[in-house]
Amino acid sequence: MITHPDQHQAASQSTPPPPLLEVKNLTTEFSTYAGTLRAVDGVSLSLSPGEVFGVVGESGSGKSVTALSIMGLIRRPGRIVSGSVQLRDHGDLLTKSHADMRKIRGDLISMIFQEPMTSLNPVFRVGWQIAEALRLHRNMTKPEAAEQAVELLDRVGIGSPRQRAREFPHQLSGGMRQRVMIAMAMACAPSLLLADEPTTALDVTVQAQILDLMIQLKDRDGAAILLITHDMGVIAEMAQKVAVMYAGVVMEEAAVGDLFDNPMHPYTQGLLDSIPHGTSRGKALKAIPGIVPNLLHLPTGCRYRDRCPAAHAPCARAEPPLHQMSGTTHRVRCWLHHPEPPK
Amino acid sequence: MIDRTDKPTAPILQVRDLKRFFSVSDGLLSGTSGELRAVDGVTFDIKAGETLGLVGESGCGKSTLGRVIARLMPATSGEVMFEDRDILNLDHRTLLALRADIQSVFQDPFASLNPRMTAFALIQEPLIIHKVGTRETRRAKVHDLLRTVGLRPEFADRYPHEFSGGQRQRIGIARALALEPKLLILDEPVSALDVSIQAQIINLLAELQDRLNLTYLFISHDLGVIQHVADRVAVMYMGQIVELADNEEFYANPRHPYSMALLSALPLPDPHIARDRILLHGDLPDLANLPDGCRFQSRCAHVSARCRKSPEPPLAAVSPGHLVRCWNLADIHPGADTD
Repeated sequence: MITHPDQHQAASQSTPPPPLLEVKNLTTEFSTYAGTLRAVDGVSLSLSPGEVFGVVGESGSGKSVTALSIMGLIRRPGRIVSGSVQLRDHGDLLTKSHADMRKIRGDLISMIFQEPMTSLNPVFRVGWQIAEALRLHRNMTKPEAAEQAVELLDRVGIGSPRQRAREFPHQLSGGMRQRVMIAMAMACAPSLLLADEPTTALDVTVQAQILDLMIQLKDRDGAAILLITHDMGVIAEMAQKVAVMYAGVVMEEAAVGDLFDNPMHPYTQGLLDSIPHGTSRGKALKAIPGIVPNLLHLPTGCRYRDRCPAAHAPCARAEPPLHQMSGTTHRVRCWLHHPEPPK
Repeated sequence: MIDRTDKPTAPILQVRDLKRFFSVSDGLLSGTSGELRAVDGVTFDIKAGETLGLVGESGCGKSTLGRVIARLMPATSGEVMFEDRDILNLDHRTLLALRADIQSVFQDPFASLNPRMTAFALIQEPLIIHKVGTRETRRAKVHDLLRTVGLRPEFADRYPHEFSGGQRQRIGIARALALEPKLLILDEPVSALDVSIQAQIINLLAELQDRLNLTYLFISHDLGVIQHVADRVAVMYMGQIVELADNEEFYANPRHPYSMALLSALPLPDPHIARDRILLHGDLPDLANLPDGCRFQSRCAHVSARCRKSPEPPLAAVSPGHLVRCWNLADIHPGADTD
């Protein structure tokens, strides 16, 4: 069942639960031959248990690097320059050793990726791969873990799970492989699931099955989900809160209903207008002109200004901060909505 | 609003019972063991100047169908008439002429453009193959084409990797337009692109269609894109068309259970719409090993005994211009009139 935005708003009026994950001012850079680029530039977000937080953006917006940074999976030439990632009861993940992070990954935090064929190991049976997490984190014996793996495959809706557990990834369809990934991610009942474009490679009917499965798992296990996608439709269906990312920064953040009813940032408006829909037929779509900027050569001031139809003098002078609109949880990075734009 | 009523209605392309099978083998040594029916008896028309949207999921045969029509791949049987030419039976010379009239644009503009050729060489190539013009007129033509697709002629000497995904797709389109074709087979032309860029390319294709009086076969898995671009919609499942209707009719009254499931599964960018998704269970059946009767039976919520017996349901009209391949329409849509 889908939690509706209004229910979420009703719930947030009582004392909100303490956040499960609090990312503050996360900055991740990559060194390249051409220079150092900032893929994630001061991102802050917070997730509560049982919540789906959507991160939406185009390629190069930094949404995947944000998830990899939270997971502690940034490797050279990338590095996390600053910020903190607080996981409730466990402190700042960015200060943990590799050994500590290995204990946390797959246990407290799991991740599912876009292309399950590249994230499953082709030379091991899928049952073995699911059992691995259980043996590592739950100290199960091989037969116990194997039995549990079969149960997990059954739970994610794979028919004849005992037989499937003995198969290799290439023997499964794309939808089944993604279900294996979810079974793996859910093996240790993590409190946080990072899902990076989990349905992008899938057909729409299979996507519906996978989204349904994620909602079931969230409702039953109370996990929080950070859902990264480029698809506004998936966001509308799944998320309670949304952050719109562009060129490494959050441009706008709001409850899902607010974002779709009252998109404030010109980029969010542009993204929503770009989506073809029933009533747009026969008309030109309002496309966003230009392309996503090269992170090595960002414009001065607002990084969206050279594509923005509302760009005006202050936009070139300084980068706008993410400003919280008074009396709401709606935050937007745009001088149009800021009380004191630079003169 | 573009007036679409003044379009001529004569079919430019007529496809009749088109089939394309691939032989499959079980392993290295077992030889040929069966046939994979990628396109299995497809019949439709495209009118001059219209866009026929062809939707379906991966493996349904939509790309194979496009390739057979563009003669990039031979057919197993059937008939395809383009204007007055039977295109499955052409000798080499007339086939070359046909290629000028039917061109394709592919999904991945990185994979479909030779990385060692400049934009200029890529767009000029079809003109050279077809011996069109002189060196000077070709140069002018390429620059014209670059402008037509919204690229600056100064970009002509760059290589594909120097362009963004949207720009590469513009080059793919310019190349397809070089020989002034009448029919374009657009195979997932915007699927690899970001949403904001996707809108630019969709707008470009609409503008080109109006200006150059092009006919499109627009292949996509994205029902939202198809709703925006298509005049008529054909839904493919397991090598066959299961529903064919005008755009408005299809999106308002989808009749085939598969079309209904597809539409219900499409996530809409509006958080206030609470919908009951029709979840399909099971995966696609094996195309090389089809069940008796209807191909959708294993995943259909409305399956009855009749669906499991031969013959398969025919693609039959439920109203003028609206064709559906299903035995159980009267039970699924009790109020609807079927004739």
